[in-house]
Amino acid sequence: VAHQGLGEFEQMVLLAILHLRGEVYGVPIVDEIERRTERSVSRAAVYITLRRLEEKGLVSSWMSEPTPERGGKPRRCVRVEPRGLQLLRESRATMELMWRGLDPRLEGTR
Amino acid sequence: VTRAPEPPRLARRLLARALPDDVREHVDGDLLETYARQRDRHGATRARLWYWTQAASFSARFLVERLRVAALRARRPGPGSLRDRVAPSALDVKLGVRMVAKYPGLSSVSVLGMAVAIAIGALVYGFVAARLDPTLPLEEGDRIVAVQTDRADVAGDVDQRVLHDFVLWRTALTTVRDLGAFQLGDRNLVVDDGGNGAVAGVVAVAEMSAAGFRVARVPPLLGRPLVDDDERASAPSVLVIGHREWQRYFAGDPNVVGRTVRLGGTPHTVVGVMPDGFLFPRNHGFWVPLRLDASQYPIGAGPPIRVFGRLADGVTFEQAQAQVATIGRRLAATYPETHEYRRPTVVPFAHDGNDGVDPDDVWVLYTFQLGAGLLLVVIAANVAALVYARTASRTAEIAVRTALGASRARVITQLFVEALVLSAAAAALGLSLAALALDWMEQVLTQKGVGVPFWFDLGLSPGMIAYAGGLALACGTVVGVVPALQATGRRAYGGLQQLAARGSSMQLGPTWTALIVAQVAITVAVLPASVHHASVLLRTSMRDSDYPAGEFLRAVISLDREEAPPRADSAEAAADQRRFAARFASRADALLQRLGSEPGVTAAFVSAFPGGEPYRRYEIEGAPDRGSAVASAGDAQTTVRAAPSSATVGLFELYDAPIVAGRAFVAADTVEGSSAVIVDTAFAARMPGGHALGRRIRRARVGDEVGPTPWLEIVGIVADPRSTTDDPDDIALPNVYRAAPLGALRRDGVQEASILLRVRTRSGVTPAFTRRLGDMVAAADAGLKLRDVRTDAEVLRSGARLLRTFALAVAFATLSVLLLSAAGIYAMLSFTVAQRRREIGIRAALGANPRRIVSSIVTRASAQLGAGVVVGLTLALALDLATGGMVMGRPSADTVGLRGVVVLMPVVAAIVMAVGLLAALGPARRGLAVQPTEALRDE
Repeated sequence: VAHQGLGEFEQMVLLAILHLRGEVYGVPIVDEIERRTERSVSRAAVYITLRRLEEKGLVSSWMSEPTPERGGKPRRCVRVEPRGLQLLRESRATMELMWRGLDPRLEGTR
Repeated sequence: VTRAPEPPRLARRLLARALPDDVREHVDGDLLETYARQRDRHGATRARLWYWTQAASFSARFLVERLRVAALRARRPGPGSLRDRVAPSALDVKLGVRMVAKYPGLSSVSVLGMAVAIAIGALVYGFVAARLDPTLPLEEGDRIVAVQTDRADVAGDVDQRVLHDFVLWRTALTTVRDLGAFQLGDRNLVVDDGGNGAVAGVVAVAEMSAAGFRVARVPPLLGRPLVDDDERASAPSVLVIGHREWQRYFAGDPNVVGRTVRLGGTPHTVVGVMPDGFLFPRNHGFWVPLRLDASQYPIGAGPPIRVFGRLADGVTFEQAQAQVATIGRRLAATYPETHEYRRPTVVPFAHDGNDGVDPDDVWVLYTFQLGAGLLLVVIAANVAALVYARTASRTAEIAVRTALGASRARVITQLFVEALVLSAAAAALGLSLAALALDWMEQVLTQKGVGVPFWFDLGLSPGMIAYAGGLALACGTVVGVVPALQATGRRAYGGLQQLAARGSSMQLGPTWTALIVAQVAITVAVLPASVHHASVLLRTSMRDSDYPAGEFLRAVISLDREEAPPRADSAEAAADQRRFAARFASRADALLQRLGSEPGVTAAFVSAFPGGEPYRRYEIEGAPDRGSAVASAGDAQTTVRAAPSSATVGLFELYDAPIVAGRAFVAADTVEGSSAVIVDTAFAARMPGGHALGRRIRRARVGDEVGPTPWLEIVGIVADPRSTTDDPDDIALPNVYRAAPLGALRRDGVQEASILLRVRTRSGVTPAFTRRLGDMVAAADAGLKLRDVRTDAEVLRSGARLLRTFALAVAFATLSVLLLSAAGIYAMLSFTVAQRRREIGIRAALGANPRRIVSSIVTRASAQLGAGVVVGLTLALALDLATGGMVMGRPSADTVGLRGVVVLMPVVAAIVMAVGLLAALGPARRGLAVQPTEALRDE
């Protein structure tokens, strides 16, 4: 995969995974993003993003044991891969470089 | 207590179709989990709404995602390549959508018409595919087979007493692995909750070899499946339950494995829970080991079983078939008395028993599909005519585009895409209609308690969606490409020349006339019949019941055998059967007496519930037989179709049905061999010659029956309030009653025997009464089961609802065809006349009499329409003859037989003529209004 930066939503999903403990799968990820951003997110968008992140090798996933309260359906649990962590760090560094020195102006225009 | 979440099924199914394979399972699980949470927090209604929103959002987003991935993968062709010049672009789609919006009337009529046709087409396809080629939704389901033993001496008969053969096959068959067998039945389930042992209900149980779980290749969710050891007679009684049953009867108890329940009288230990959706072999949620000892039965005897297995690796169907046939021949040679006519064959599992299709019936199914296809062709041709008229008005636009350098292929592509937008919208609408219809069908089937085999997926299958897509493409081709081919080509240049003269014209020819004639013919031939059938259905569904249906109750009473019957065809077995029959009779009699002692309550045992009787033909003594009556078919009815039923004495008291002639049944009539029958007045009215009392009738032979059935004497005529109707098209048939002893009404099964009970309570059926009935049944014998309790009112209501919905569906389809036909005829005729506008103007300018001009136009239009009407009537008559009155309805019995359809035909013909003439007159008047100078200047 050619070098690509991370989109904003991709970053949110990756960060939400890192925040969570235990079995990390779609439902808690959506909850975590909604809880932290206090906005509702499209569930479908989260699953599509997870799929793309996995295609790019930034996260990996495995199926958990099926549980009865889910109609016997398994969970797809995810974990951030080292390459994902690296891209997150790079994204943050890039944004911080761009932000540097802007605080006075942003404060001023408010 | 965790309840299984139940989100809207249709939404869940749509979602399952829309999601890619790799995410389907866990997204489904995640949504179920969140759905349960939503429901607990906000209630079921909001949760369902939430689920629908999610289903829509997921479907749309994953569709876009798929398109994005596909677009990334596809390499763009180089500039100037053929693909680039012809390939449809987003602009074409945009133009197509714009055309839809620009002609809302034409678009909505076209889309609606094609949608109905596509819906019907897809449903028929799905039905035919499910019947002909059912696929088992199991791993390598096409390799799961049944070994079925046909009888060579009775066509279509299957011998299921193959226990010994099964034992031999198990050791000798190398081409079929994991051979197993099963028996179906139902039992009283008693779930022990805290010691009071409440009966949970009557449940369907599959007694199945452990091999069934290996064949299905589905691991249990909890515990273990059945294993071969469980089949030993001395092994403890164990039970495997399904997911649905686990939730329903055990509230999803995670510690259910190890719990004990009772099936009938026997305690069983639950050893495993199967995952959601596992219903093998039919529609089951309870499995117990099949324990049969062949040594207890003589060769060729034993309880009926069905045998299944999985083709061994690398073995073809034909190889397995050959081996099974070889073993069959060997058995036939060794045991000629029992096996001479047995022909074991390997069939796909879903074709086993009565679930498959007789090869002779295959063509019926295909004809059915062809009919649905023809409907689509008719509708597509209509839409094509409409679009053609529109395309014709765009000759100038096409000419300009051609002049600006667009290739012919490019212009056709554009018109094709425009048509495709229409037909794709129609396909989407049609599939939604089909999905709704299927959902409704499933509800009806579930309500009726019909166990649909698990491989019948009553949903939109990928095959159906693909089929609808194909239909849409075909529609698009007919609707878009045919007119486009006509409109482009050399004529486009002509169009450009005419553009200078501010006019437009497309040539018309004999094709046009033929189209109009065909259109009118099909409309006249098909519509009246369909209106008629819809109205008959509707009338039947609206008819009030003439008897107090709320006072009647129907139920099935069955008695379990306490222990398995002695395993031999011996005197002991016969004695056991006598003991069981006596016990059954005494319990049933006791119940009947208990019921009779209740105030205002009457009861009887019957062979079939009203509406559930088989249809039979009765021959009448002295009337010419069917063979000689062929020439005069229609006027002399020599047989009468009727619904036979038997009952214990007392049935007519139950219905308050007075005997209008002859006598009622007496105890002597219940003796075997008695020839007394009582017919209802509806039957008597259909007897040739009118009088019925004292005459003899006999049931016509059915299928392979040999020899005539015995003559029966009509000893009485009863005025049955449930069946007196003089409507010749009534679906309800007259009744023929016989008296029978209780024993003759008993239906013997392997594990139980059952009988049908009719009860009337003058005070109306109340829940309290139903409960008391349950108590009475339980008091008569602990092994006596009461099930399928319904009032006649309920049965009639659901039947009426079914008919009404069906009638509405027929009416809807008919209406859309009529609408389209009218629009098509209008478009074609007004178009042909509009073509002559200039000619009309010039003739008027040259001083022709306007009335003569109009009359010449009307004459020509009338000739076309009239020819259509004549062809249509001929077609209808031919179809009616070919189908034996299916098209035009049954003639009434006693009048000369004016059929309902005969009245409708002139009406439809008149409407079609009127529409056509109106269509012709409009442009004719406009032509006459053209100023002569203007008409001449155009030239």
